[in-house]
Amino acid sequence: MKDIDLLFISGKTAGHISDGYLTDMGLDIVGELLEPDEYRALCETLSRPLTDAELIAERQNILRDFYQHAHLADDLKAVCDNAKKNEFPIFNRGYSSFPLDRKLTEYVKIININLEVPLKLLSLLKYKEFKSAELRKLHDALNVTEKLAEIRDQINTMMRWLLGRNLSLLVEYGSAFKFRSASVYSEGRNSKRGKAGIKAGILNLRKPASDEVFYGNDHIAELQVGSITEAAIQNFCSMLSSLNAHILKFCRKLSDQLLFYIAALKIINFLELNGVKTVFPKIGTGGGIHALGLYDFGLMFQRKSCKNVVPNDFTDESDDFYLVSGANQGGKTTFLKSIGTAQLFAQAGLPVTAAQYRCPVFKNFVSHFPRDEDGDLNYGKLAEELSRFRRLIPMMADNALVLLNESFATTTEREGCEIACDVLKALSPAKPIILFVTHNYQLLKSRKKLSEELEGGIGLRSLTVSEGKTAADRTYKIREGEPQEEIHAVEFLRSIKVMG
Amino acid sequence: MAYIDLMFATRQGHDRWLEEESDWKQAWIDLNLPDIVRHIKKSDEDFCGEYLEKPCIREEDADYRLETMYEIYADESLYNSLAEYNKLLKKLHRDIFEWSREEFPQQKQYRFTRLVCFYFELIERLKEITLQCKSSGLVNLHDYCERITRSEKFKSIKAEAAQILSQTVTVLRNNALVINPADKVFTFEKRDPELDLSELFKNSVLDVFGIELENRFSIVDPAPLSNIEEKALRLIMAKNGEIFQRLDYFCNKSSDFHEYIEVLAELRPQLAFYLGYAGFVKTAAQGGIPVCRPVFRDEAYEALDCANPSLVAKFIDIRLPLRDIVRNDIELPRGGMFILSGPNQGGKTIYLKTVGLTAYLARCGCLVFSRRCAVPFYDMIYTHFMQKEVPGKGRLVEETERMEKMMCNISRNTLVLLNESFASTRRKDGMEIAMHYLSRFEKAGCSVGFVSHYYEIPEIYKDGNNRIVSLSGGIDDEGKRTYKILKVKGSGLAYARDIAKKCGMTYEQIRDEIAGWRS
Repeated sequence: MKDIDLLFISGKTAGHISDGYLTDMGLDIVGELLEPDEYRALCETLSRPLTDAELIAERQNILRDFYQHAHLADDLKAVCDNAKKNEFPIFNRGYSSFPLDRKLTEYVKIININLEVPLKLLSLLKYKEFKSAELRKLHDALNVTEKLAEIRDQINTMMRWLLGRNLSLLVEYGSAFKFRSASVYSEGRNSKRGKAGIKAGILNLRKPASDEVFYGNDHIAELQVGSITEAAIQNFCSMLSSLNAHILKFCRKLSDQLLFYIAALKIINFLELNGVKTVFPKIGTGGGIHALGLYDFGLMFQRKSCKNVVPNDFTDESDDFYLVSGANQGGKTTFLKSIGTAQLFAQAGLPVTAAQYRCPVFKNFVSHFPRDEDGDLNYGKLAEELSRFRRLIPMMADNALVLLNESFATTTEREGCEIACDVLKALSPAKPIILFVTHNYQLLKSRKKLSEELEGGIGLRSLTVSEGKTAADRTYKIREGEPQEEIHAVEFLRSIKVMG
Repeated sequence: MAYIDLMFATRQGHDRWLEEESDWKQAWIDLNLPDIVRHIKKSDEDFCGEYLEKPCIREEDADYRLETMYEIYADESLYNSLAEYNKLLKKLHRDIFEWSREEFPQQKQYRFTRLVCFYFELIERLKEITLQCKSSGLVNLHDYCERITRSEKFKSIKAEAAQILSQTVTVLRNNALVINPADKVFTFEKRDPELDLSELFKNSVLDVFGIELENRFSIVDPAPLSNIEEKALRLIMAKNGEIFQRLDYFCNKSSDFHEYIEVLAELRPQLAFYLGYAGFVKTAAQGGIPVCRPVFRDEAYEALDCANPSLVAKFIDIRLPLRDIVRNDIELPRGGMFILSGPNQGGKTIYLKTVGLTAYLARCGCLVFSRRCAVPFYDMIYTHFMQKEVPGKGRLVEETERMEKMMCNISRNTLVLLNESFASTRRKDGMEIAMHYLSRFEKAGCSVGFVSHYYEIPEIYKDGNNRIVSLSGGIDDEGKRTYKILKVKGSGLAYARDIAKKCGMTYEQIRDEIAGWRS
C-alpha cells in the first residue's frame, strides 16, 4: 500500500499549457459528456502534458488495459470511493462527547472495514494480464493479505486490553520522577477473582504483595490511573486514525487518478459510438508533427459524427513557421485547434482523431487567441493582446507549440504587419513551431522577404484554405500554397444569408 | 393605502417598467455598468444596482429621479440625515423579518407591538428630515408622513402600542429561573438585582484581586423560542394575564397595520439607490470631476467636458487623482454618425463607452460626469463589441449575425455603438461590410458611434457625400497620447509601435528576453 502513481505528473516529467489553452481549443464542450469530477480530472491532467515519451507510452498502456478490461477502472474507483465514506468522525461534535470506550470500539470497527480495501482492490486486479507495468506494480503493492491479517490481530488484541483496562505501559520519564510519556507495552496481570470476591467489596480484598500499591482506597490515585489508561486509549485511537487516514489518502489519490482514465474511456466510447476513428499517436520517433486525416476533436464532439467534416493533413518536416490564411469560415481556426488538441491529447496518452499521427514532444503549449473586451479599462485592445503575448514569451522560447489566431489584428494592417514581423524574427532562434492564422494581407505578401530574415534555418510557409467553386463554397481543405488575393467575404456573408 | 415611491412619478410608470421586456443586458456589460455597481457597493453594501440594470421607460420617471437625486446630492445635510435614516430602515427590515418568521403567538405579538412603535418613530423622523425638501419625490414623502402623524386613528394606535410595550417590558425584567434538580423542576420569580450573588462575588474579586470576572454567559438558542424559554414565558403569562390579554386584543385589532409598515420599509432600497449613487458622484466632484443633471432633448446629444463614469470609479478605487482623467466633449446630432480612429490606446474605446454610459445613466435618472449635458431619451442603446468566439462559427459570421439581430429593432431613437466591428476579415472586405451597415443605420435614422481603424470611410462612403464626422484620438509632437478626441480626419496611423515598445514587444526586446531565458 505504498504510494502509487498512474499519471506520472511531476515537475520534471510534465510541461505546461498557457492560460485559456483548453478553452481556446474548444475543449469546454467535453464537460457535456462527463461528470463534473471527471471533467475536472481531465482538464487538470491535460494542463500538465507529459514530456517523456516512455511515460506517455505507459499511459497509453494503462488506457489500453482499462479499455480491454471493461469496467475495471470504474470498479476500482467504486471500491476507493466506498472506503472514503469510512472516515473517523473526529470532527463530529456529537461524537466527541461519546464515552472513550465507545469511541475506541467504533474506531476499530471502521479500521477493520478499511483494512479490507486493499483485498478488494486486489481481487479486482487478480488473474488479469496487464501491458502496463504500473498496473502490475499496483497489483504487487496490494498483494499483502497475510500482513494485513497480522495487523488486524494486533489491533483487536490491543483493543481487548484497553477496553478491559488490563494493560502494561512503557513509561518515559521527563523531569525527575515525573512521567513524561507512556506506550502500551503488553497485557496486564489480571488476577482472576471470583464473583464472590468482587461482591464482598473492599473489605474482602486480598492483601497486596510487597511489590504492589493499593489505590483502591485512594480516590485521587484511582482517578489518575483512570486518566493514564484513558490517555492510552486516546493515543491508540489517534494511531488508528493515522492509519485510517493513510488508507483514505491512498483511495482518494487512486480514485482521482482513475477519474482521468474513466473520462478518457468515456470519450473513446463516445467517439466509437459515433463512428469516429481514433489512433494512438507515435511519440518521439524523430521529425516534426505528421498528421494524416486529422479531424478537430471539438468539432467532432459537437457534431457527434465525422460525416460532412473534412479531415486535413499536416506535415512539419523542418520546424518551420506557418501562416494560415484564406476565406472566412473556411476552417482556419478549426485547423489550428485540430493540431493544438491532437498534440495535447498525444502527450496526455490519449488517442487522437486522425488516421495517423506521429509527433515529437513539446514542453509548452501556447495559444494566443482574441479575448473579450477588457472590462477593467486597464488596456486598449492592442495593449491587452501585446501584454498577454509578452507574458507568453518565456513559454514560447522553450520547446513550444505556438498557436496564434488573428494576433495583432487590433491595429492598422500596416502596423499589425510590422509587429508580426518583429515577433516572428525575434522568436526564430528559439525554434518553436508556430501556426499563425491571419487576415493581414501585407504580412502574407511580405512572407518571402520575411522568411529570409528568420534565423536558425527557419522557413515561413503559407497554408491556405483551398478555394471552392463559388464564393460561398467552402472546401475546408488547408493546403500549402500562395495566399489568395481575394477572399470574397461580402459575397460569402450574402450567400449564406447572414448579411441582409 | 397611500402610495409612496421615490423611483417612479406614478404607479402606472412603475407597473410599465416592471412589464417592459426590453433587453439592456449587452449594453450593461459592454458599457462596464457592473463595475460602477461594484464600486458603489464597496462603500454602500445596500446599494440597489437593479435600478441601473433597467433604465426608465418614460422620460417623466427619469426626470422625477433626476430631481430627487440632484437634491440629495446638492444638500449635504439632507444627504447625511437620509444616510442615517436608511440605517434605521435597515433595522426595520430586520425586525419585520424576525416578526414574520416568529411562530410562538405571544412572542409574535410582542414583536409586532414593538414594530408599530418603531414605525411611528421612523415616520416622525422622516417628516422632520424632508421638511425643507423641494423635489417632487421628497415632497410627496413628507406629505405622506404628515398625513400619518395627523390622523386621529393613527395617534390612538401609537399611544396604545407604546403603553402595552412599556408594561410588557416591565414584566420581563428581573426574573430568576429557580431549578429544583431533585424534583427536576424550576420556577420564575422576581428578584432584587442588588442581591445577585455572582455580581457581589464579581465585585469582591475585583476589589480584592483586581481581576475582572465575567459572570454572565450566553444561553442563546438558535431556535425562535426554545423549550425552556417557552415554559418560562408560560409562567410569566400565568402571573400577568391582563397585560397579555391587552397585547392579544391590540394585535388582533391592528393586524392590517403591517401593510403600512411594509410600505415604509420599501423605501430602503430606493433611498439606498439615491444615497449610493449620490455618494459616488460626491466623491467624484470632490476630486474635480464636473457633475451635472442631464436634460433630455430630442435634437442632439451634446455634453461638455464629459468623463467616463466607470473610469472615475476605477480611479477612486485605486486612489489615482481624478484630475488626471481626460474629459472630452460629445456632439452627436439625432441621426448623426461619427467614426473614431487614431492611435491604439488613445482612449477610443473609453470615449465610445463614455458616450453610451452617459446616455444610459441619464435614462436611469442619474447625474452624469459632465459640465453640461443634453441627451435624447434614446429608446435603446445597442452595443456591438468584441465577444467570445462561438465554437463552429467564424468570428466574422458571429459578428454579422449579431449585427443583423440588432437591425430588426433599431429606430430613429436608437443609439448604436460599434467597437472595431468587422475587423476579423481582410481590410477591404471589412470596410465594405461596415459601409453596408452604416447605410442601413442611415436609412433607419439612428445615431451611430463607430470606433474603427477604417478611417477612410467618411471620405469614400457615398463618395464623401455623407454626414459622417471623422474623429481621431489626439497625439502630441512627441508621439504621446493626449486622450483628447478631436474632430480631424484619420491619418491611418495607430502608433502601435509605441505600445509594442511599452509592452516589451519590439524585435530587440523579445530577442533580448529570449537570449536571457536561453542563457
